[in-house]
This record gives sequence, structure tokens and C-alpha cells, in this order.
Amino acid sequence: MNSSLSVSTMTTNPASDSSCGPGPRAWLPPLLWGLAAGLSAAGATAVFVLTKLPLPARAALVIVPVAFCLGYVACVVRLFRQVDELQRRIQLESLGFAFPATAVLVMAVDLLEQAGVIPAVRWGWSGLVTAMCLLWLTGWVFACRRYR
Amino acid sequence: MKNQLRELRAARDWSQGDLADKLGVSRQTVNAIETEKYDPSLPLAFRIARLFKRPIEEIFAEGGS
Repeated sequence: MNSSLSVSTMTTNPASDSSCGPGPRAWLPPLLWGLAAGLSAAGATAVFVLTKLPLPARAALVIVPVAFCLGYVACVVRLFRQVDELQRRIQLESLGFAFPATAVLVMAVDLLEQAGVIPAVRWGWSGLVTAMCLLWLTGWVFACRRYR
Repeated sequence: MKNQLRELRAARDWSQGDLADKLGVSRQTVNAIETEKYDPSLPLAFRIARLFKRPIEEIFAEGGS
């Protein structure tokens, strides 16, 4: 088989068409799963606060947002497997920044609380997830700029 | 790692997007390799070599950033 033919007929990955990272459409499934997870978690929290469901029903209700979260994780992993090697490197660097940066942020806030410098901060899962996402985006922007 | 990708591409009058399509990678990846900000993996280097019908060591050489 002609080697140049085999290379030239390779299809372009639709998830990696944009100049920096996967195209916007590729992010739609994880975005929708994440949104569903967030909304169902908020809904479950509202139900816990506003109603007096029996314990088994409350426990069962927790399954809904967790299932959406697992769908989100599966979508993100599948997306990372679709993108090309540079995009994967960029994501690795972004997450490599976001993961320890979140730990440092949480530790710093906790120490400031203990020192009495700031009032007690109740992060909750939503605050922590927001911080992680913002740090991931920050790392992404810097990694994209590095390979521009 | 130094490379001749930009020269080889220009000799064929291909845009970065054209080359990216032929290699199945993003345009940003082609640009990052050409500007020597990113060294391609061995499989991608082989694909580049096959596409330009040159030995890998003729396209990529040690040194540079």
C-alpha cells in the first residue's frame, strides 16, 4: 500500500479542529452532563431542606446527581481520548496545575481561618467544584498560550 | 528539537491547516511543531516522515528548544 496515500486519507478528528483545544461542539456532551449533575444536586439539596423524606428515599435521591456526575466523567475521558496529542498535553498541564493549586487554595484558606484572619468559609461541594473549574480554565489558558 | 517541517510544507504550498488535515491533528499542533515548541510523538513523527517521503532523521534533528 502506498504510504503517502494511507497518510493523506486519514480523517481529521472533528474534536480537534479548532486552533486551541477541542471545538466547542465537542464540549457539549460533558457540558450537558455536568449541568444535569449540578441541577440534580441542587434539586436534591432543596428536597432535603424542604421536605422530610424517609432516610432510604433521601439516600436513593443521592444516586441521581452521582449518576449524572459519572456520565460527566465518562464524557470528559472520552473527549480526552479523541483529541490529538498536543491537546492531550495541554489538558495534562492544565489539570497538573489545577489539582495541586486547588489543594494549595483550600489549605491556605483553612490556615487563614484558623489564624483568625478571615471568617470561616463554608466551601460546600459547589464552591470547591467552581474553584477547581476556574483553576483548570486558568491552567488551560496558560498552556494554550505556551504552545500558540 | 529542530525540524524542517515548515520548509517541507512550504515547498508543497500547503497551509498549516492542509498539513494538519493530512496528519489528522489540529492546526495548533502543526504550528507548535514548526515553531519547535512541541516535539511530536514517535508515531506522529513517522506519519510526517511517510507523508513527506523522507527519513525521520532528515526532518527532525537534535538541538534547538
